[in-house]
Amino acid sequence: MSARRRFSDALLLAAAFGALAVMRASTPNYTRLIAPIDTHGVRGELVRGRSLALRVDGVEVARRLRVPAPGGVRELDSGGIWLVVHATAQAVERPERVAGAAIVGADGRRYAHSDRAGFARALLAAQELQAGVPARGDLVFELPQAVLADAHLVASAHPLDLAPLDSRLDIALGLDAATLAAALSAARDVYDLERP
Amino acid sequence: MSAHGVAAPAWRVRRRSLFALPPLFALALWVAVGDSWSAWRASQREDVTDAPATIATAFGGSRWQLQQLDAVADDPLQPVAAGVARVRVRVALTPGDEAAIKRLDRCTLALVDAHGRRWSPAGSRPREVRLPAQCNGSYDHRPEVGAPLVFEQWFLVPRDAAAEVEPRVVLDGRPPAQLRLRRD
Repeated sequence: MSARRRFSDALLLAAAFGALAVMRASTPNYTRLIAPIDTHGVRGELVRGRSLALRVDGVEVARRLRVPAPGGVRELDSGGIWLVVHATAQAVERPERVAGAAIVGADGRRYAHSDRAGFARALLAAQELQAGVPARGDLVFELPQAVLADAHLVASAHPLDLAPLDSRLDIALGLDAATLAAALSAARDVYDLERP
Repeated sequence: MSAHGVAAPAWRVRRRSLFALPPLFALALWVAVGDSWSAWRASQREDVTDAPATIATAFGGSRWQLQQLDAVADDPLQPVAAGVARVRVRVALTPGDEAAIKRLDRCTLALVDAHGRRWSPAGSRPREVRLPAQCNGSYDHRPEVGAPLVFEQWFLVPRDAAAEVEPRVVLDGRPPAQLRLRRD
């Protein structure tokens, strides 16, 4: 074998190892491989995933939440605040529900949709969504006020983290400094889920 | 031996290896995901029976016929969102035996359009509707062998789909048995 041939073989081998090293370094770990497939959007825009389409119409802040209870209503207090997201949603192909929703703060901390509110009819999660038929409702979250800045809403037709490779909506709430200040100054003492 | 004599067999081996690569790759793929693929295919299979509108069709031990399928005019007392239509579906069924009546407990009615979109009953029915809303009747209208039972369901669908949707009766099973109630 000529010296030139040996050199080109060695070069080829080195290139193959180099390619392997790059592939190894860039291969995502298993959690990332099976992570939900996000569709991104912003407040006011209908964001369409594989199962759900959702538009964030607005957000409100409240200190307490009034919810239906056996024999009347009750008020839910919070150590933080209640964030109420007004949304319009519809299924894409078959009847679905908003089974998973959370607010993700700028630092990555996540706050799941509160189940303290039960099944008030105004809740979007309580409605069965039909394909192409828009339904309006609220999503409610209990969280620290500090999380609100630049927060995102993530929503899915399946419980978050329990549906690998599922379609998930990731919608920026548009809470920049000015909008957030306005929302906080307009914060309600009580938000009534019986008569929103 | 000439240089040409040494090079020729080596080249042949390489060429055969190259040709063997695609079938080997396909075999490896099948070993890796063949079972999952077969299971997925089985889960996607649909067992659909066609039912013309003009005659009652046997399905799941009962005879079924579509009686009415229409988009209902907007009702100011029950407003729906813009671009949405209310669709009423009325179906008659006659159970053939006791086993067929039991199967009706696991029966649902849905609307399906040509694109595969599917709707379940939604919205409230008008109060004056006295017919049962389920295949298995109601407290006052229990299904009986040989006796026709008429039930009615209401749906909300996009207005542009209202003219083309077709009802499907679905009975539990693997895969679920479906009866396509044709409009014609």
